[in-house]
Amino acid sequence: MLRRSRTLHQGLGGCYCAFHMRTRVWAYGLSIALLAAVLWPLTWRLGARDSYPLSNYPMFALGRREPVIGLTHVLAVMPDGARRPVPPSLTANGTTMQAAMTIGKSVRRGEAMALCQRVAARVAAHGAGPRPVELEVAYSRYHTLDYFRAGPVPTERRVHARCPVVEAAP
Amino acid sequence: MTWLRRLDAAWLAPAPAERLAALRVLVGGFCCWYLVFRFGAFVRLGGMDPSGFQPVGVVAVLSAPLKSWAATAVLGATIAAAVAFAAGWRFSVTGPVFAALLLWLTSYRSSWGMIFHSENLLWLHVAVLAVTPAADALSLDARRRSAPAPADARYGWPVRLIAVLAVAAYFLAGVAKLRGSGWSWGAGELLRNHVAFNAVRKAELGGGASGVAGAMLEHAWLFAPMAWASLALELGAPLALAHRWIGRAWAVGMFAFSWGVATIMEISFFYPMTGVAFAAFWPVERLARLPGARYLSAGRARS
Repeated sequence: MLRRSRTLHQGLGGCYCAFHMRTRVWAYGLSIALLAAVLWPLTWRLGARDSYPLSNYPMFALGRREPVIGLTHVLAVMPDGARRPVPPSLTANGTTMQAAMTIGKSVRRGEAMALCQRVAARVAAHGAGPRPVELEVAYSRYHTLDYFRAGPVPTERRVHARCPVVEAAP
Repeated sequence: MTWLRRLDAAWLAPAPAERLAALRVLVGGFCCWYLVFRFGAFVRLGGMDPSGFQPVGVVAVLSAPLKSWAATAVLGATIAAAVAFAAGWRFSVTGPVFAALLLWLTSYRSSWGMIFHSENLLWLHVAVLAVTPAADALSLDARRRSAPAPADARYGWPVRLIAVLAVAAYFLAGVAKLRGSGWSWGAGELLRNHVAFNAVRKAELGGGASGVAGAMLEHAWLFAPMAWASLALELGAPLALAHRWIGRAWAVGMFAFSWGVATIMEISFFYPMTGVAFAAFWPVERLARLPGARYLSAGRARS
């Protein structure tokens, strides 16, 4: 019986025996369910809702009509006055996006100084490269195309907190 | 019932067990590499500021982050399950267990303010493989079989479903661009602004600036053809299911697209970049002809 149903099954000759029916129900049931789940986020408002592992993939979809960016970041002030962004591994222990979230949230909660001091301690302990004299938690606004033409000069900057980088006592 | 027979002929056409099994080996092997490669990133989640915890998906059952040791334990268990999945060992148990652990782990990683969309398709493919007979060949389980599994519909439709899911994911991304920006997305200016925005954000958050992006931004004319190409590949994705060769051409296009994104925006979608995401469009059962594959064939286990 099994051999017969397999033969029919492979030939797709219209076998509706129990063996084939189970395969059919499982195959179509799982396929339809998964495909419906993947397409379901089409009903979500773009940019207002996202999830995992189902998504409507909003990351490059929403238009950036103007070449500008405003962000809150942590800057290392070097002895010569130059400012360099502090890497995300020191600001948030994660990726650049996770750093952006951590910094933004700290500032919104009025904890910019606490963040500044926490990162300063990590920078002091890090030890590699030239040592900055202080850190700034700042909001900066840039013209993103001019950034690459004329250099990283902000069109606006507001400093939320400033703290020294001092070596921790042994 | 003619339409049902036609549907059966398309969806339930028999395929060799080795094709589905080779996909399991490729996807499982990719997962092993990815989890080890990203080991540090997963471990560092234990040291994240708890205030940044924004649970998504299945992790939404948590109101606070896991203890560091618990998160690391889940990571260790997921890597062990990934090895069992790729090797096809006790697959009826380790397959679903791996899919569940991977869903938890990747959801947890996406619960810190940034959703890693690059892992969506990977998990969906793992989920299909985990609940289908993907270890009936090229596996430690298959060594215990007395004879190779014959070609069957059970090995065909999961491969087609994996291909359809890849197409659906990219089609959704294309639809999102139209919903968010309309056809003006194809003009290139929005793409150029995205590239510039991404490059400046990365640079100013300490992640380093992309030299390629900086050089390209001066040449605005480059971005319209790139925008139209991405829209064509994404919105035209369903055509990949119409014919084998269209599917392969599309897969090559998406593969190149993922490398283009990595080069210009320094955003690495490793799953498509390795080509594994599109393996279902190719006769991957040929992997079974490789010299080492016979050790994972039926009848190899010692009695």
